[in-house]
Amino acid sequence: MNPTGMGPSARRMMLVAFAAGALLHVDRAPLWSIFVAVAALCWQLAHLRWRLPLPGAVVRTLLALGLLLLTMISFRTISGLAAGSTLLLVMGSAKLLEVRAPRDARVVAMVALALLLAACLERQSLLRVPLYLFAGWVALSALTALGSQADIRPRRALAASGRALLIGAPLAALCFVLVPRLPGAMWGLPPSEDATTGLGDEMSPGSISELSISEDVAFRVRFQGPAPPPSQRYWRGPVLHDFDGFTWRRRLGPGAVRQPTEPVSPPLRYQVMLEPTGRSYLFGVDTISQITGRRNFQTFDGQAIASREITSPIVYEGVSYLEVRHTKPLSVTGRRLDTQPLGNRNPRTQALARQMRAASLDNRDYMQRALRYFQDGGFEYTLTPPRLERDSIDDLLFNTRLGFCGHFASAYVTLMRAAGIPSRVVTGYLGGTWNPVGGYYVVRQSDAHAWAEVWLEDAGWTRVDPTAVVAPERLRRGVNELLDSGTSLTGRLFVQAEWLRRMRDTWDAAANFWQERIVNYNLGAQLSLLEKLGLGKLDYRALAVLLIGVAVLWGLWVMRAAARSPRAAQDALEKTWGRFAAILGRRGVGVAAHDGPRAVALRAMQAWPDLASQIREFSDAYVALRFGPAAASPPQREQLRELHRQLSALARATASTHRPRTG
Amino acid sequence: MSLFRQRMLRWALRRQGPDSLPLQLKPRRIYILPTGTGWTFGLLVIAMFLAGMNYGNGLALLLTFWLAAFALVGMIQTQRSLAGLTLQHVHAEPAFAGGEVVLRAQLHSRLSLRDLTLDAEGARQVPVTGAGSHDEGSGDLSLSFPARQRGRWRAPVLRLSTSAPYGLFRTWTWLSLDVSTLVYPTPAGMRPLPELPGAEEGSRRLAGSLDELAALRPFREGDSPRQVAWKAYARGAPLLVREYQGHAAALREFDFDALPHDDTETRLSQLCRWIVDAAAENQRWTLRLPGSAVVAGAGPEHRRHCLSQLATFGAGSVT
Repeated sequence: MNPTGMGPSARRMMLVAFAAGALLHVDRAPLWSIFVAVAALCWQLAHLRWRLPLPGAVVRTLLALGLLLLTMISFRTISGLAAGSTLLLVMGSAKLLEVRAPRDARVVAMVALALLLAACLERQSLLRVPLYLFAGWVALSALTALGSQADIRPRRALAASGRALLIGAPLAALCFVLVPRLPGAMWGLPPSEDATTGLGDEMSPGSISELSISEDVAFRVRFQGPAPPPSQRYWRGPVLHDFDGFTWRRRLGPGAVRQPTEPVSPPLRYQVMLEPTGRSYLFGVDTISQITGRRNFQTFDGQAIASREITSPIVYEGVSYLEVRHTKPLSVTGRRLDTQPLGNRNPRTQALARQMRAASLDNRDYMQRALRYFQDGGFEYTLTPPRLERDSIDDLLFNTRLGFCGHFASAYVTLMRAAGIPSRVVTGYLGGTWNPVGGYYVVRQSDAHAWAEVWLEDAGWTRVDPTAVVAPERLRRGVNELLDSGTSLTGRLFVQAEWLRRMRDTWDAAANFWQERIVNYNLGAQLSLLEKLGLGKLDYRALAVLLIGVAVLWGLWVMRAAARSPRAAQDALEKTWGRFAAILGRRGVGVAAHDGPRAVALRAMQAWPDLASQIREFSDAYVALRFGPAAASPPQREQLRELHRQLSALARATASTHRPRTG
Repeated sequence: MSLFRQRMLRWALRRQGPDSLPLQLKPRRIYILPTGTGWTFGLLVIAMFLAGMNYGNGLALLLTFWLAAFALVGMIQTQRSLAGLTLQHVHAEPAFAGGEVVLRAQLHSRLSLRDLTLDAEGARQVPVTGAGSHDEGSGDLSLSFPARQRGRWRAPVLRLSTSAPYGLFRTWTWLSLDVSTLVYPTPAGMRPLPELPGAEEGSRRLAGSLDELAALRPFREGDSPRQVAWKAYARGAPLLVREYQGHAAALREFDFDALPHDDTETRLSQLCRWIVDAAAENQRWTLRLPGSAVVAGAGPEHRRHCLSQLATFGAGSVT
């Protein structure tokens, strides 16, 4: 035994556990903290391998203080998840440098578990789950190895803790389902730390020369009842009102009153599972009438907004109408907002607008004429448009004639405003692909879209999508299917390979199930699941009784499982031999407690010479199982049964033969 | 031992009654509490639970429940690892006062002996050694107690415990076994072995025995200075004592009353010294103690008998 009471395997397990815990934070923690962790690990390894001395107490104290300071400087706080996990990481590293006794090593294993928890709180994607499982398993195995005085080999520690985890899994699952969830947070949620993705507050099509098409999922949608066709699935996002000739922006200042509407078509109900964006936008199809969720609201221009930034996936339900009637004329503020003068920017476009308006009968006719302009003007849809000049619309209309949705929507609204017609740019997503495995539509970042809304006195806000006339296929299919070039390789691969798409659908369905049913399993989900299970009428007390009852049953089961442990099999082996010795004793062959099996067998063979071969066979089998190479693993059930059979035969044989001579 | 522990011990002993060997441990006498690591683990699980509840984070909650279930499995396994353990034999060897009483417990368990801890108030566990015992569940656990006082030594309440397999819980049982042994007096005293009967003068005896000089042996406390091989010592050898063959057959008399009137313990120590020496030199002696029968003899059995008489001298009989 090692003088410190900790075997080298236990020490190694602890190192692996800490490394696994650190690995979970590699992509988020600051680089210096990763460096600290790796350095500490290397130092311990060198200590283990080449007896490199560990740092003294003074150095360690200074190091710990320094690391604390560094964390505070780098995060300007030590509260919050990111700072907290970094602090855990570096303090764990510092602790690693003073591991001498098992006690220190156990602290490190605990830090590894805490790192796992921090990682779980930060990110919950299905992809990371195997990593989490591994980290947890290794940390518990390290605890197991450290809990025993014997130097347990890593494989045995892994097997023991893995077994306990498997035995514990049913109870954990049960608790997960039944333990009552809270309706809301008990204390404040941490401020958002995530980078933003997806649609933003502004749009400057002219500044983009290559639109990166991300295959990331923006959200998933389940429709109640039939879904509208793809060309009608306009997912409404940020509405942009302010234009400086180059960039469109959301209205951040005072807006206008909301124009009241009346539904004309039947309502469309759906459930949206939104991926985190770091922004507060919610998406709904076409004209959103309701969005569930406390404190979610709609802006005057019909955009749904959450009360806070969406940093973790959320689920909400929406009701929309594909056709509505505006019941009141446009408010003065609304008209002012969406007919903002263009000033001296894009003069050629303004001239074109005036000329086209003069040739039109009314606003509706002008709207159609402008749309035809995009249809017949030789415009082309591309995701790699050239950069545009400062007067971006002039450059687009009279020079490049290449662009994507943002370009055309921007140009169209400019044409409308130049003629004094209230209009705005709406950004969002278009379409979405059906996932047959999960039974929902997936809307990806590559489905991002922009279109125009024009106020017509007789019809109210009317959607106009100039991209639809430039590239009509865009409405029916996704971007990837539309273009041969300029789109990502993976995107094209998915279009071409059916099996690959199928695989992606399956994975996406699994990830969605994980997100929806496990990670976001909240009070509502719990109540509806209990309802489905027929337990809907149970109150908390009944639930507690149920939980405890099942837990007790589980405990009894575990006790039985513990009785079936390897040691129990060894016990059974011992017992079999004990019965043999007892039989010999009853038949008058004295067996002393200190007699080895060989001596006992010899004495029995002397007593019953005619049974000698049977006795030898039995004792040899026992010795092989008990002391031979097979003794390393517990005896198999069949082997024990065979031994029992031999014993019973011997018991009968010795009973039938005459009493042996004694002495 | 804390007051709480004492009260709990008293309660437990009342509950389980006296033990007799061989003893198979029943679950009802096995107690369990978390270890320091176990408490930390519990705190971590509670922290995770609160965080998971607060953030409505299913993954964190799942992890929490799983870790808690793991700890529960560990608790049951730890408790079960002691249940069914058989204590076959417990035995303590006699010792001299000032030395150590070694208590040996022979047991058979599902656990490796290394993971079992046998302890008692004031005792020190003798580490399990030997290559064969590495993972063995059957064998001896030893405890050594300081042998303070001459007389009958009774084993205190023993505690057999383990925290295997995960170190999160420690389970234990109290054993109140009727195990006792004798503590002999400390062998001490500078007086030489009493003269052989018939020898009148030391010098003559010495001269006479010189012929029978058989061997030299290392000096032991209490040896007569006259028997020391001073010449050899002067030449740089360690203190050696001449041994004489003739003495083996002769009968020496160790008489309590013949000793000068020191206090009883000093006299007993001197007698003990003589018996140990005489036995080591394979001599014959009789021990005379007030109020006990006189038997002449030699050898380990006689030695044991005489030492036992010294150990129990004065206990329950007239001095």
